[in-house]
Amino acid sequence: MLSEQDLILIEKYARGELDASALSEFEHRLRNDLVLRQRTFAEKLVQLSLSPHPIVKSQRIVAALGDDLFADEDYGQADVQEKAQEYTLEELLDMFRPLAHIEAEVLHRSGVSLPPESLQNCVVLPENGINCLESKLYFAFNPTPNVPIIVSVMDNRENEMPLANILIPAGVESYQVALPRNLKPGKYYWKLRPDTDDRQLRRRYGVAVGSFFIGAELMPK
Amino acid sequence: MNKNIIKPFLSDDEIIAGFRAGNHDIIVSIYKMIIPNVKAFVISRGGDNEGAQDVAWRAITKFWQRCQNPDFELKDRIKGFGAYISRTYRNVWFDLKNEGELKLKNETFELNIETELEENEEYAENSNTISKGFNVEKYADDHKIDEVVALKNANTLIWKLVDKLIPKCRDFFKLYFQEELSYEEIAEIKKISASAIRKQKSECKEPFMQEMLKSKEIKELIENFPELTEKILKYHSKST
Repeated sequence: MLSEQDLILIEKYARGELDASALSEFEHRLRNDLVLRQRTFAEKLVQLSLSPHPIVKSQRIVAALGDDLFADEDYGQADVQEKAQEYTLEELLDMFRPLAHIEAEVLHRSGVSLPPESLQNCVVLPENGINCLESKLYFAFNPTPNVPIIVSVMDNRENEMPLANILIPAGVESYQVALPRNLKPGKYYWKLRPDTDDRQLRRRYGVAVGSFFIGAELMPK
Repeated sequence: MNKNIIKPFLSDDEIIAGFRAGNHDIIVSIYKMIIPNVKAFVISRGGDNEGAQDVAWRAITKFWQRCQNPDFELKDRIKGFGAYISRTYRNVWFDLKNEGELKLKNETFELNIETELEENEEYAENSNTISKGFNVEKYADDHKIDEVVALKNANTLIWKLVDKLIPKCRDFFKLYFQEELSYEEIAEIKKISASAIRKQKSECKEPFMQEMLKSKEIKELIENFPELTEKILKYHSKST
């Protein structure tokens, strides 16, 4: 017969709530105590049979976290709200002002027909105009470019950010590029170009350009 | 290597394995990764934040369903998770738009759309409803049919026992196992005392567990499948 204390330990074990030393002690007992082992097995089996679908559970986690989902990142909602106090309307309008000539290039991603292997066609992620909530940009390619690619990021004054000239190796399907920490809110652009001296290759791949925001919530309507 | 470049936080194989195992940490990470993209895509096409969240979860669900096929890989026509999920959420958006369903705004997205998710069953009505969750058979080794059958039998037994519970106990099981609430949270929701919860626990849970352990299905699992028993014992829901 198990004690009430044992039943509590079983529940905590099943829910992953034991600390390291209690877990180690409990696992030692599990190996040597058949009754405890069988009752714990029953608990785990019921838990696994009745636990919610993993996607439902994930949705609950996301819903419970709310704005805190990105709280461990550089650009959490709380930070954004704080930053909102730091700028005047004129400053914000300036920071989020699009650059007309670059916007025209950005539009090529979904508009003008380009050769299928052109970088502008290869980049499937990030979407244009994403609000970058983490301090990184996730690039995905399809098809994968067979040349190394140089990444650069600039603000809407065409100032390049300190990650200029970083290289994505040839043949990768996806890559995360870290952005400088504490970028100011505003509109930014990324640019990809092939890292090659071969003029034909440069012409074939061309240049891909896209836009993203930092702190899009601050953008004046 | 330049410190400004980080390899993707998860490889395609890790993502697929995580989805197959029902690892909610990985599913949430994927949601975090795709939601800014889905929002940009949906909002630029006239949708809103809620529509984007709906599209993102539907795309993730579709990917989850694909992952349940043991032969599924991201190496065929569309290489790489990023390309795959981007195409998936675009297709979801266009499908929803064509069907005029994006007014789902305030409705809860119910995961009963396809394949195994259709197995959701209701075991009672009103507040005592418990729906079938993750398929426990997936803990068996696919190649060991006897393991799969034994686990399926155990699972069926559990659901039969749940079905036999009196409404008060079924409600307790729903809140404890399905909603994964603590006793304190259950007491708060039910507006009853901690001692009343302890009483429910001893009235509902322990008889259930003892009946299970007396059954031939569970005895068979424990006696004939020690490796599977160990695997289930070691499965920690919060860390995997």
